[in-house]
Amino acid sequence: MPKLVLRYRPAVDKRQTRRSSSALALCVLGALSSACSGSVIAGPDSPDDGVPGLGAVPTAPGGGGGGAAQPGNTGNTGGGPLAFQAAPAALRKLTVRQYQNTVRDLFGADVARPLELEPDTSLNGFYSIGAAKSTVSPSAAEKFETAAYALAARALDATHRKDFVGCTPASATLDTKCTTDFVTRFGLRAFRRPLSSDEVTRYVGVAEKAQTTLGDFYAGLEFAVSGLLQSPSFLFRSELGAAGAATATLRPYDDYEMASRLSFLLWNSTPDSALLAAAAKGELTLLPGLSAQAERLLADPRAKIALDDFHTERLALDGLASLEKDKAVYDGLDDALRSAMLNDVLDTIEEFTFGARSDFRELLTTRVAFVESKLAALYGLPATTASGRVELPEASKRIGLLGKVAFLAANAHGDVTSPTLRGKYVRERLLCQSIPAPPPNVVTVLPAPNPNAPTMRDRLKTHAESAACSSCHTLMDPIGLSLEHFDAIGRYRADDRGHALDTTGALDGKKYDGASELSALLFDDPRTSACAARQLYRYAVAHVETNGEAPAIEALIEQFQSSGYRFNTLLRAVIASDGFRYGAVGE
Amino acid sequence: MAPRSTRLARRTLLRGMLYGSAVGVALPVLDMMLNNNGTALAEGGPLPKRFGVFFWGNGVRLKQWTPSAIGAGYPLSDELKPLSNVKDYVSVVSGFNIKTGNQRGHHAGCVGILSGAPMISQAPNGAPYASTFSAPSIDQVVASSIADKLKFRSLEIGISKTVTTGEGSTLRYLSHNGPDNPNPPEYNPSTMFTRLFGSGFSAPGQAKLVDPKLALRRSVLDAVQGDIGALKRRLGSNDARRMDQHLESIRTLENQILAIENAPPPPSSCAAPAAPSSMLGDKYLTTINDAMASLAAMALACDQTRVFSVLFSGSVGGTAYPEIGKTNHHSLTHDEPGDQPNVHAVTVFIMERFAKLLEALKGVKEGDGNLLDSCVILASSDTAEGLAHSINDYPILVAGGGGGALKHPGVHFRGNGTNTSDVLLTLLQAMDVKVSEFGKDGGKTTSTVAAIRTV
Repeated sequence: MPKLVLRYRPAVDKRQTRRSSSALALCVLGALSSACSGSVIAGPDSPDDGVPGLGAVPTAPGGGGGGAAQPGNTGNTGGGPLAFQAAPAALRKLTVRQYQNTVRDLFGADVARPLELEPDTSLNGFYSIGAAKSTVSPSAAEKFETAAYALAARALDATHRKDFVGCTPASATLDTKCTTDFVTRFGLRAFRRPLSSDEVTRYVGVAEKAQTTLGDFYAGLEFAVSGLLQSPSFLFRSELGAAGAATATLRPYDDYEMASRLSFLLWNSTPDSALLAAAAKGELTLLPGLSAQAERLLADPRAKIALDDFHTERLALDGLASLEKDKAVYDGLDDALRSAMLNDVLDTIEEFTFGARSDFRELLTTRVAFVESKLAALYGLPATTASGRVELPEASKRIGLLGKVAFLAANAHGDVTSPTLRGKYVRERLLCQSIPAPPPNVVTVLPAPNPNAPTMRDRLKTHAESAACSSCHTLMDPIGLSLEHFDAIGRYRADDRGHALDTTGALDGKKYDGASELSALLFDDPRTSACAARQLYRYAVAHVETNGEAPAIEALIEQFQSSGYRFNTLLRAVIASDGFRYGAVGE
Repeated sequence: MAPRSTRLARRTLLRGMLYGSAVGVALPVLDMMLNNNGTALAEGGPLPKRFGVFFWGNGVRLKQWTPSAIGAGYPLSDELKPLSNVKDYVSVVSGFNIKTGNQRGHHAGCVGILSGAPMISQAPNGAPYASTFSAPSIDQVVASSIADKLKFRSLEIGISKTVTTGEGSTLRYLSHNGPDNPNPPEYNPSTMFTRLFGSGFSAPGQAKLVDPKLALRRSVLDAVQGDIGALKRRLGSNDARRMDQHLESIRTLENQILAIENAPPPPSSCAAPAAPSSMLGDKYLTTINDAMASLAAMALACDQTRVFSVLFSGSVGGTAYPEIGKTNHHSLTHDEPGDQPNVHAVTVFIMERFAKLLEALKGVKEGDGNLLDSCVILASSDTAEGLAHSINDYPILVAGGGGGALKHPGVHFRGNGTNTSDVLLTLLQAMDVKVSEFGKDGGKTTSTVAAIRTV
């Protein structure tokens, strides 16, 4: 039975369709400084990069039982130019989704309700990177307080209190032993590590003061619960690395920190009791223990949902929530269709990550789609098409991610296509390349379609012909122009209002004609899979990789490739990677 | 009404009476703290000054924005015509330039005009571009200088939710405390109403029931501060700064609870407005703006805060204007050919909304005048003209009477490539912030715009 339930609903404000200041830049001849000089193909990996893979994942370096984990995945940490150097560790604020999943897991779905929280800030492509920089504003502190009391009140109401507290107070007002046991036990789950004795004293003190003032054990305990949920030890993941480590740039994360890292990566939620128990036994700083827990988490359905979040961020799919189109282009764009567009991509990805097919690159060339009626119509499928999984016909000019309505519609204007936006997306999201800013004081209006310049290719000619424009625009426009058979909503068209479409182009020297051939080139291009590996790494470690991490990145890319581009191999490799298990001193 | 005999420290009085127990206190015992006609705030000093920012994305059409003559009695240009009912309260500053650089269109203008400091690019190789502020935005500079422990340190209002979320904090937020440290706005008038006038708000004359849970909430926040302090000791400087903000935010929340507990009698101009409905979406911009303008005016009148900002539309904002039949504003500025009549129409619409804000403030009687008399308001955008991402001849309005500090009636002053930070320094001084210089790097200045000041 096809799954059409919307699994991912961005609980955040509407976003404009991914419009940036570099869209549709038309460069006035001769009036510019050149911002697009020098090397514009960014990213540490170039096609001719000869750095070899640096070795497979070894098993437990120190044997079982005790001892800190040894760095060894890159096979080269003894110094020298290729030694792995971790990036500075940083506090990671819980994202909205992580907060919601966490309270669901701490309190149970019956207690946890939808809560009003401050939205996440994306940075360099990922919310998790933003979360490693963001702060708690005064209005966020208000919201966290309100949420904390709402949860505490419900968890301690007559229905839920017995199970939640776990001990029965000896008197109506005070019972220091029960309060202490509760704070210790709940605190361990809330802070994702055992509380220090100072911390236990602090929160027992809060509880007893309130219990005394209010004359009620449970009403007073609400204040301790609320406090624990407002503490930075709850709101932030303090994965800082072991203080006593020998090298400042290679501090292993301790067992509880690894529990958090693993759990938020694979479940986007707080560690469960079993994972905390494994941490208590010192199992997570050794690869066998870490791998065993990773397998357990991956087998749980929560992993698929959590990884949907990764793919949504990686491919900027959250912009779909606020997609708008002119009625002349498409009338009837509603939330159901937006969800369908999103789920089409996520369900397709799942087929290549958790499903029957295993080559992740095939996301670019697959004809698989997941549709409901409006989406089927946009795909040009017959009205009788059943909802669910379909395979687009072989003759279809539409293949892979670049043929998905989600991609085509999100990277276009309300009324017309945008080859520049579509090309920018491929460069940034599929090839991990940066596009420089448009030069300042550039007049950016394209000529309107006219008999001398009827198609987008004609109108974008100035981009291609002006020296100041072309160095950046040749990166983007040709890619987008190969997709001109798909209009602003992603519907196929044989021509553009009667004008024939020239969809030829070249991707960094390799020629193609049309979207299918372009997609095939991207399939074969090592940069595409390297980019996917980088993005998973970034998401897992909450920063864009630094030069010192190159050995780890190269190892991941190598492992991904030699596995036949199995996404789950990549995922396991990230978990075992030095970058996931070591950090440097915070700056 | 009893004559005012002594200046009492109200907070000390209240704490002594009420700490730890639930007591209902009738407010009339505090009447002695109002002046005879009950309109001035209890300290007996002059009415406080209020600071505001109104910000919209994508600039203006300079040809239709800049008034054709300078000085007092300047003629309202086409784009400024909507301000005719409040013209006396508005000065126009033109011919000034952003001097903090133009690293990236929209980003640079936004950061430059709001903070007088350069932007920080966050552009690692191979990742999507982002930027953030390097210094606090001017609303937070003012908020930091206000010694009073008000219920809200500042109020951040958002009107159009169609902001750019994929390029860092600069394009998404107006108010910043520092790098990667924004104050996100509230977009829903109904949520804003609950925050301002829900439980915890006492209307004039209302007997305040003191709730022991308020003090307990503060004891929880004390414990949280203890946790922050303990965690901070283990952190590097970047993370320590983030914890400093967390600490600051917890203290702000404590002040809020204290303000509820102490419940000073609100000024007589204070009255809870009607609760607006829950509204979001670009097709409701007029209604949302009106609702937020009323809420802001009443929050100021009730002295719940003295600093506010309105992010009407975001930098690079793709806000659509269905009420006037226009689509994506940012696209229009870059796609519309010729004289861009649609871009012009959108700018006029935005100025109509700004006029509504000023009219709402003017409509609240205070003392012998109105609330707008005591306001200092900066209105500007993220570029001069969206078309070219220009930052010269920047569109700047200064509104309000400034408690007597701003020229009234307003004037049109035209500079000659003058530093826009001069305006920022002028406004800070008009708010009695003790500074003789402001800004960073190219945005640094010690000069002010005397033409818009009374002294």
